[in-house]
Amino acid sequence: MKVISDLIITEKNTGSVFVFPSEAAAVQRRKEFLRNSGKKAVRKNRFISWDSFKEQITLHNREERPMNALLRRLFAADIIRENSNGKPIFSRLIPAEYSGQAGAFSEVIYRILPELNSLAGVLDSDGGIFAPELKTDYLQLHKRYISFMQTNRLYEPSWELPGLSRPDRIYYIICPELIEDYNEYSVLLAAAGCRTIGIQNAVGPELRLFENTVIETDIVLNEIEDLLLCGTDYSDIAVTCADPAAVDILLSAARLRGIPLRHRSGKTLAEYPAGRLPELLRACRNSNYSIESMKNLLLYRAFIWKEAETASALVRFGIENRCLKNTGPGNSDDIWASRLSAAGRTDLAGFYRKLKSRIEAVNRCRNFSRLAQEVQAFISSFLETDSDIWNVDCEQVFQRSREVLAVLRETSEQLDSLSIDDPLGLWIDILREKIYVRQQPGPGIAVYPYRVSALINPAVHFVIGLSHESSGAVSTSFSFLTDQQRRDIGTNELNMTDDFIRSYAQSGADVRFSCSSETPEGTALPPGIFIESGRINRIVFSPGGNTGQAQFNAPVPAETRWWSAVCSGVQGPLPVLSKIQLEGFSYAAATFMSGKDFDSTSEAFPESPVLNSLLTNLQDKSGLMKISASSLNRWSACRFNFLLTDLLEVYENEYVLKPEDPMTAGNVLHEILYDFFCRLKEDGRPFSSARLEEYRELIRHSAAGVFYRWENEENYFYGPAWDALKRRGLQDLSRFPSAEAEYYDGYEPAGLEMPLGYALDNEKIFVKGRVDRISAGPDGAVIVDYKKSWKKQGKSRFIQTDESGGLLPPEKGYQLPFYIILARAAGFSVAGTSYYSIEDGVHFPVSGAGGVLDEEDVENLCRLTIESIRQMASAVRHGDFTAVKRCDGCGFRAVCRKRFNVGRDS
Amino acid sequence: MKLDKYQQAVADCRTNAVVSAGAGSGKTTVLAERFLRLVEEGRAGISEILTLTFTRKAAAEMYERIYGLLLGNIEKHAVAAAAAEFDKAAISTLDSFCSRITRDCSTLFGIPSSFKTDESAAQTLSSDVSLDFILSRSWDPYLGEFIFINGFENVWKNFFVNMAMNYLSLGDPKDFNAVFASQMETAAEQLALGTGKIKDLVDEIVIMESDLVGVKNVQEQLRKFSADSYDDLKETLTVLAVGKPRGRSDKPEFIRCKEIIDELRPAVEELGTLIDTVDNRDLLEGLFKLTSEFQEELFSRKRSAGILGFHDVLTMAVSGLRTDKELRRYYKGLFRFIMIDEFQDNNSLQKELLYLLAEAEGRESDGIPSAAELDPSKLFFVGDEKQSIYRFRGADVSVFKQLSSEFEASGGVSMPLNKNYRSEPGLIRFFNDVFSHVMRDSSLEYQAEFVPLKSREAKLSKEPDIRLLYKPWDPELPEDSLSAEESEAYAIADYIIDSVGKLEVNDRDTVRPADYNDFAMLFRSGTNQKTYEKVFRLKGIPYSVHSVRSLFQEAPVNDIYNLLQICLYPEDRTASAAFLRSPLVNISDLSFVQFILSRKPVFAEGQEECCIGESDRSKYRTAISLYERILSLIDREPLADIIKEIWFKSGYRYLILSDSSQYGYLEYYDYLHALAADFDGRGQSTASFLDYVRENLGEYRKIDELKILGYSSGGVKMMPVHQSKGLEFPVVIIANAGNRGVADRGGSAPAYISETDGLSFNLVNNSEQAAGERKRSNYFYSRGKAENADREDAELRRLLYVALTRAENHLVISGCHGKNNRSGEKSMLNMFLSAFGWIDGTDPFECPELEPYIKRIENIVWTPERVTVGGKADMTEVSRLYAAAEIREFFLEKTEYAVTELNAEALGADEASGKSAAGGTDLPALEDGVEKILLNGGLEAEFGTLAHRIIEYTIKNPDAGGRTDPLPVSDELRPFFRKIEDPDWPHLFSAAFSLAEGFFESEIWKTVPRAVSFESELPFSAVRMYAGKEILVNGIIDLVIETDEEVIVVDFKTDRRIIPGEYDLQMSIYIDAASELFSKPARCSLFYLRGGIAIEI
Ligand code: SF4
Repeated sequence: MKVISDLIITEKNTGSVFVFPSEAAAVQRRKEFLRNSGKKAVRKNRFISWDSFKEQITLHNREERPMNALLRRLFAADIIRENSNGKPIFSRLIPAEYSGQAGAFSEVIYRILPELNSLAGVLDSDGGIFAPELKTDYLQLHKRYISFMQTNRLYEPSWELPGLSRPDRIYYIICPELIEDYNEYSVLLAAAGCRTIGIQNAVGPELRLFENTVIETDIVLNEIEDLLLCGTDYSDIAVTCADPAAVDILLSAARLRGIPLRHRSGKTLAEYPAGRLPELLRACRNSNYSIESMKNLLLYRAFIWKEAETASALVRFGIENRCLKNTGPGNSDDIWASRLSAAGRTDLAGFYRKLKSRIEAVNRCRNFSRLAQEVQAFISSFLETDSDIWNVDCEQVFQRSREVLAVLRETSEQLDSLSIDDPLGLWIDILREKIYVRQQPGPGIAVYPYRVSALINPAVHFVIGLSHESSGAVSTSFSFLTDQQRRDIGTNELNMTDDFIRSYAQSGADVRFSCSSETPEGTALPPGIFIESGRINRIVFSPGGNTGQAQFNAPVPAETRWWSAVCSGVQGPLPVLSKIQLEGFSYAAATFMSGKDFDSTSEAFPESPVLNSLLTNLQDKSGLMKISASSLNRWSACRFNFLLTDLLEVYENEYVLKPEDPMTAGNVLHEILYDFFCRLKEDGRPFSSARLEEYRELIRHSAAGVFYRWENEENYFYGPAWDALKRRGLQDLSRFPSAEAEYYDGYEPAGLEMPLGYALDNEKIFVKGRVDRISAGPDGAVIVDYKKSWKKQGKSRFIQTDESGGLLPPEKGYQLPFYIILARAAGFSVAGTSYYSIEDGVHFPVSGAGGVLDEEDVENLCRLTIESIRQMASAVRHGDFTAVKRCDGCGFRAVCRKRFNVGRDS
Repeated sequence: MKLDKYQQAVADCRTNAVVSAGAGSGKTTVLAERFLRLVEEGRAGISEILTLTFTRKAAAEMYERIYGLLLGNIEKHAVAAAAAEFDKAAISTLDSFCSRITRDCSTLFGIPSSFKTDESAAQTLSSDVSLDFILSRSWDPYLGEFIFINGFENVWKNFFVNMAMNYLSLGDPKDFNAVFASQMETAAEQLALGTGKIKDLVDEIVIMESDLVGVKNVQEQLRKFSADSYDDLKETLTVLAVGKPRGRSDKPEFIRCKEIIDELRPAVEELGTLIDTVDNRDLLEGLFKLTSEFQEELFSRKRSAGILGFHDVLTMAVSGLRTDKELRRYYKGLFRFIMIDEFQDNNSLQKELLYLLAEAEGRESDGIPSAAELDPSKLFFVGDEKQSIYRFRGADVSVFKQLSSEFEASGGVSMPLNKNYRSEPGLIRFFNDVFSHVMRDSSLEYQAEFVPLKSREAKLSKEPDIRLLYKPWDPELPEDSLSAEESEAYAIADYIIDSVGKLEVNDRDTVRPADYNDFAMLFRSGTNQKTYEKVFRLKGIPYSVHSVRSLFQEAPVNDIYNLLQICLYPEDRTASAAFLRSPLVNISDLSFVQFILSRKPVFAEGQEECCIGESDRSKYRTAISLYERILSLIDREPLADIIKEIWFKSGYRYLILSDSSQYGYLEYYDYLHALAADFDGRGQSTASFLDYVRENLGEYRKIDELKILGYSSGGVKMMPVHQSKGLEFPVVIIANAGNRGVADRGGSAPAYISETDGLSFNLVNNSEQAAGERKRSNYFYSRGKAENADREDAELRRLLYVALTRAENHLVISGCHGKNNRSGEKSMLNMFLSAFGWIDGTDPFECPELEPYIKRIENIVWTPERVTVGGKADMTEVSRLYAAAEIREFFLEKTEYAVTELNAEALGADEASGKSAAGGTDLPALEDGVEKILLNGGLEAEFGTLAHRIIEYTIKNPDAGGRTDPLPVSDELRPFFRKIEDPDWPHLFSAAFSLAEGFFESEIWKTVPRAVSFESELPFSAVRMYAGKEILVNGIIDLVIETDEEVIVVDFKTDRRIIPGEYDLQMSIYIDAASELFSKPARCSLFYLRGGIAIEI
């Protein structure tokens, strides 16, 4: 506003003070003064903000100390605690029946306190607006608050109007319309001769309405670039971002374009990663050391862990050993401890014990001194304290949060009769409230939040994200009351929305308003004042079109368009790039653009030491290549998968823990059947359909033993899931004897979990395998493989031929023929094979009695298998691990990259 | 827009009304008009009309529409006044309006008014409470049984968490005892009824006179049945599983016997279920009790956390209004009129809320008022039952259906708006034909009633193109045929290519040839979206998608994930392997194998040795720089910024940019970035983010919440039908219409909720069934499941309606029949075919009514030549251009300094140019202990400030006795120096105090007359020239002593040495500033506190 600019220059009295609604405006106007007045220096305190003004010139004349946010929080927490102790203080403010679960009410109490005295005044003559119980509650709160303050020699500054300390100076209050609490002081200030300068009425600029925030910020950055390129000093440009959700988009787009912006706003300490330690410690305790909470704490890189490797090893252990969470707070239910001890991991057990006890100690504290000590103890036990190895930002935030705790400790120590149930919770609350502005080195264009930059006066001021919602500036007293209560007691709303927009219209020589219809938070509308006056300029980009100015200038879209043209053979001049784009290109040129010397997914390994060392993994001591049924299956499905799994031993690890997993369930059931047949073998008699009941009993015995072993030696599931597995397992296996009797009555176990193997001719191949069971019967042996679940399969699944009758790799793999070959080599005469489906309680014979394959099929299959083994051995020796052409994908799709479209040659 | 007579009537309506507004009938216009009229006629002030919408977008549109209308009529006095205070207009979503009410009554439920509505936090809380609850009840036999039947994870997530999110809410606590009691009562009644019915049927057969053997056999079997007692009934029920009488006969008793057996089967089945239910009474009671306890636990945790979901907010608002009559009176009094748009997507709770708000003045019923108890003209519902497609979000179409009859019976009106202004008359005729069949059974409460639409004038010169692209099932296709969906995608692509530039579309009132932007492809679900995308890419058809689905299957997400994963889990061998082979490193597989065989983390020390050849070494080193950079950012900078850093710094984009057929994938970065930003917003760690991504890797999944902003890429729009609601397109293609949707979960849902019976549990254990043991079915669960299936079917019919009616000019429906979808009406295709008289199992090409529309989709055999589009860049040339690229960088010069900073910078510059003041004199050290504390704690600066503050305090408080009694000074200053630990404070304070004392003993202080004025800590700003430019400096002068003739500036230093000239610039700035501020000559003294030495500058 010109009036302000003129006033600060022409004011003769060097003692006069200009009071602005915000610090930003005061600072900016002080600079303007120095630039335009010809003076070489000025006292900073001639240009001050309203808040400093109040601090400087108001007097409370009190011996007591003023209440502040922290003290109010302490009081609120204290009264909530007291209210929850058996005899509630309140009946309506916090319904008595919920007094024990009312922790969240402390926020409301905290918000009430500054206005409690005025409310008490209203309650005196409320004419029945408030229910009597509620009234009593408020008065009770008032009484207790006063008593608390008296006991601790405190007073509530927001309850009283102060005097003015230096009425002799001339104060100009600039645009008091923008000051929320100005009215409270207006009479006093007028009497003290303070002068006011109101907002001028002037037609402001139009509002540019964009499709969305990304386009809006791109346009604004284009314009900023133009200004800078034309020589405008960066300090003459300012951006105000009215929509908080747009700030990140703006900053991030500017970073990409190398335009330095400095955001003049902070976040709460708890929003910074390094301010989250207390939350993480709380989460561990509250979740009973759930694996998620442990991951979040132990793998969190905002802190530097002294024993970082042990910390991640503990997480890995937890995942691998199914430490979902402790089932209760006590040690008896400490799953972590018991599994660590069962696994004999004393190193990790010690770390865990110490960690848990420190976390427990922090959570259990009942006062702040203790909490500060325990937090200190935690930090010195687990975190590096040498600030040199910390990230500077993290270190500062971390220190700030610790300072908050120190203040809490000191403040609470000064208070009598205060008892806090949950100091850690309160610390967290305050970290969630305390704003910290990150230090940003180097110069940059200032980016302000809305309202604080009103009345600054740069040459060009972009006010972006200015929507109906983001521009709302309404303040209401007694916001904790209901709509109706506020209306009945006649509270006034102070709506400063239009005043702010008007003031912004004059906050700079060239003000550019804009907003977007689509923002990160959803749909937005322009502020009413623009709709009303018709000052809206809708800027529309045609879909897919490339005529928009934003697309033309913004380096990334411009570069994309350039590439698109190049790809279609049209090559124009390369657009101007930002530094990061060139860095990216250099990286790409040094890596993927420079091609790959050798790609094993499409060509065989050359004869090389690498291939030799690869193959050693497959060889036994005597140099034979070991081939098993599963490795043959893998190789036949995809050689590259085989390379990863069998030669490089790359396995997919689980990183998210599941309460149950089918693999464990399968293992348990296999073990029971194994145990059952061991008993049968000991018994020495063949399986007999006459003894089914006895077998069922025997299975129950076996199961009991296996379950017991798992419960003591393995990582079984949690209570209910484990119980369900046991019950279901027993139920499923109870069907086994009848199923067995149906096909293999009179058979006796000849080999259980039997390791078989033999060297194939002279070909330096050793085929091997472990068969679940071989039972010998009157016609020969049967091979049985247990499956947790198996569905009936037709012949074509086991044996496939091509059009010319040649055999193709079987869809269901080589397992059974492979076992037949092995068993034969071990001297068994194999009469049949079967899959037994545990869940269905049914045998599915594949060959032999009831099987889908006849003898000829079996022989063909065995031949095919031997042939495939030979082929495999040869291909492996020649380094052929090429990926299969078509597949449904597997866990290695990101390694082979064959299933990706991106980066693939069309 | 000028209203037609029906629209006029609606806008002018003066009673409670429900407006059934068909697709394209201009309902938003009518609502806005009505608003205008209410204001214009002075019937309501701007804040007295409550206008509610379903979505935030709709609310914003409504706001703008109404405001615009008012401003367009501003010449009318009442309207002008209303427009002036339009910021008071109550136009919002129903959710946010409920939130307002709930804040006023939440205390009633033990929730503070500061509660947070956060679905995602509520979901996490629900999951935690559920797991804790299960684990704490491990001993409970009923829970054990339930888990045994349904599985642990199913019970945890699909029962408890689901209940917590969608059914249990603070405002509507459920009485599960009552539900149990009522179910048992119903079961007993049904059992009696069922038994009676069966008995009658059995008796009818038993007493039949017949000499037919078949009938006699049946009679003999049925005679064994007895229902004399419950036990008899149970025992003899199996005898009713009797086959039909054998043989053939025309005799009436034979025919009747067969009929009865047909009737008997379902009755017996139902009776068996009822018996199971009664037999499992204890288990059911236990489960209901358990659910009650869970409800308590959940509510208690929600109260403690102050976190609510949307459902809580709604139920609390309704319950608050119902029980707190004062609250109701207040909100009733606020609004004279309430208008609600899209009401078909709401449910009975929302209706109750509105009825409570519209209750007639003076009435205060205890429950929800009936329609007759409402204010006669307050409510104005707008909706279209045929467009109710949000059942999965709790919408219940029957509520909207009932409104008409309720209003009509109580003096209100039900008004239709059936004229469709959107679609060509030819299309309207087609819709009327189709939907009079598809929606024929409207007697069911949840089935929409179809009333034929009226049409506008035609705008096109030709009839609309309406076609069905259909591919029949062919079990004998050649091996290398493309999938049916791929063939379908090619057919659609060909249709689009042929139509562009030829098909006529209307643009407002003119006609022009269609371009790609005119086409929209709508899916029931996007299961096959990627197929269409792939084909469109290959065919060079520009398109934009509403949501990506193969995000987690594609390279960008996988590669970025693997880099982050090895940062957090360097031991992960799969991630390491993937990373090494990714474009981010791209080393040869010879080196790759060496790395993996080494078994060490990729970037462990010495690993470079694994590289074979200089090229791989160089790639590896490049990758290290990226890895280290990212490692330094993780959990320190927002995840979204890290993703951005990887994407741009690694030049990953160029992988896509260099091949124009892949440009669609550029958006994948935006989606991943948005996903990361979402995690940032929730304060989640990188570990959690990785957990989430990992769970989804390789999955074809839609992520609903992700929204990206950017430049619209145009082209054919692909979107789910749900997202097309409220939109219109010149050409609509309903693709993949043969899709049957998510497969029925085959009874694996652990529970159902039904309108009639409430909660019901699944008691069937599939394993038990397989074991041939008698299954334990639950009558109520079966009913709930059946009801659910019927409602789903009705919803699909409405979805088809919404999809078809988006078309303005032309319509294509395409779909294939395969092995599993050739019968039943579970797909849009079959519904559509049936509407034209097609019968399951027949050939649609034989159906005469389909003839005008149906076109065959040909089978396509895979050939590599299909890849036709997508140019590639010449990378050599591109690299040359990049090497010479112009870079735009902005180096901003600092123009503002702190005095000390400037002094240090100038000193540094001097040192660099060899002008530095060398040498210097050491000052005496402080006590050993103090020096140690300063050194160890890095407290030098803090200590200096402390000494200044002591001097300042002493000067400012000459009467406080500060120089003789340090204690009050210590107490006063302690809070400002928190960095100093408690035990160190006395030592440091006392040392600083003695230094301060040194000043007071110094000549400067002693020679200054006491009467002059002092000013300490004087802050100032000044301008001066520095390095050839004008800069601004800010500083604080420690002490200024003003005499009549001059000002003396004193600057305190706690330095350990005196270095001549060290502070010259600083002091000269102080002197200039002081001289300007006091308009007197100034001089300056540097006072070194250690040693008490003053140096005059
Ligand atoms: S995704 Fe396919 S090609 Fe790649 S490794 Fe797995 S099976 Fe082989």
